[in-house]
Amino acid sequence: MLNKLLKYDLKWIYKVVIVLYLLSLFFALLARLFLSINNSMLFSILYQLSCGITISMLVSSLINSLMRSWVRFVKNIYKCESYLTHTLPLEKKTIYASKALSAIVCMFTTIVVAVICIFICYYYK
Amino acid sequence: MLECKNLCKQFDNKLILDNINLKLEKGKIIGLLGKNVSGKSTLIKLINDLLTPTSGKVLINGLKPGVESKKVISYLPERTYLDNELTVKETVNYFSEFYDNFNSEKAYQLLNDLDLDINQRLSKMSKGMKEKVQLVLVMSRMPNFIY
Repeated sequence: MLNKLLKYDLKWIYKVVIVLYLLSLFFALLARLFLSINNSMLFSILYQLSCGITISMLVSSLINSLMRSWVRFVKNIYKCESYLTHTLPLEKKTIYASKALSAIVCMFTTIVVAVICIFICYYYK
Repeated sequence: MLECKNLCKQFDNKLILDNINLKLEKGKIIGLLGKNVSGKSTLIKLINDLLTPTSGKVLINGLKPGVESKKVISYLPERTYLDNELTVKETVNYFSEFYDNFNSEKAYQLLNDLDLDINQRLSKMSKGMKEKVQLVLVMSRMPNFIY
């Protein structure tokens, strides 16, 4: 039952956050592309710009993943949807565990995506 | 069978339910009537484990409100309690995953009879349409108690 609830919680959180992940990766790869084109002032500027956008996308992913985890918790536990959540044939601890786990999983994936994007943008041999 | 034994519920200093003793057998349709703030919704919420009693107890088929009692109770609150971001079909799937006694075929049949589009998102529906969806979901279960 925890798996089922976790599935729905993660689906709800990732609906928006996955778009930010994809945008972060896109701009990180774009930055890498501009970096690989050497000896040009224009491409150097474009590289810095792409890195800046990547960082802002990553910050946005982090904030969004935190906010969406919190909003999901409040909506399911305290707002109108709580009438459904608390009448499901689940133990209370299962409900709270699902919210906590979904937040942890989302934070973990955000950190992994951030590390990958920063590696793509800034790694020099 | 539903049983309330010396059930009391107090909010701050206000006593809403005062020593309620009640026994309801299955197979009956019961109407709960009363003035405003007489404890009708409070009693229903106590039965559905949405509130905890100040004292006394509620027993559903001899069990306290919990996981097993929620399997045999189907609750329809006065407000919309579904996730508006889901479609009707996704909501039916949600119910069928959590409730063993949920009949998806009956739900789709009732939705079709009420001319509700199963692929429509709940956020795009009117209040009346959402209430119909909720009613269909409640009626598609095979519970011992419907509130």
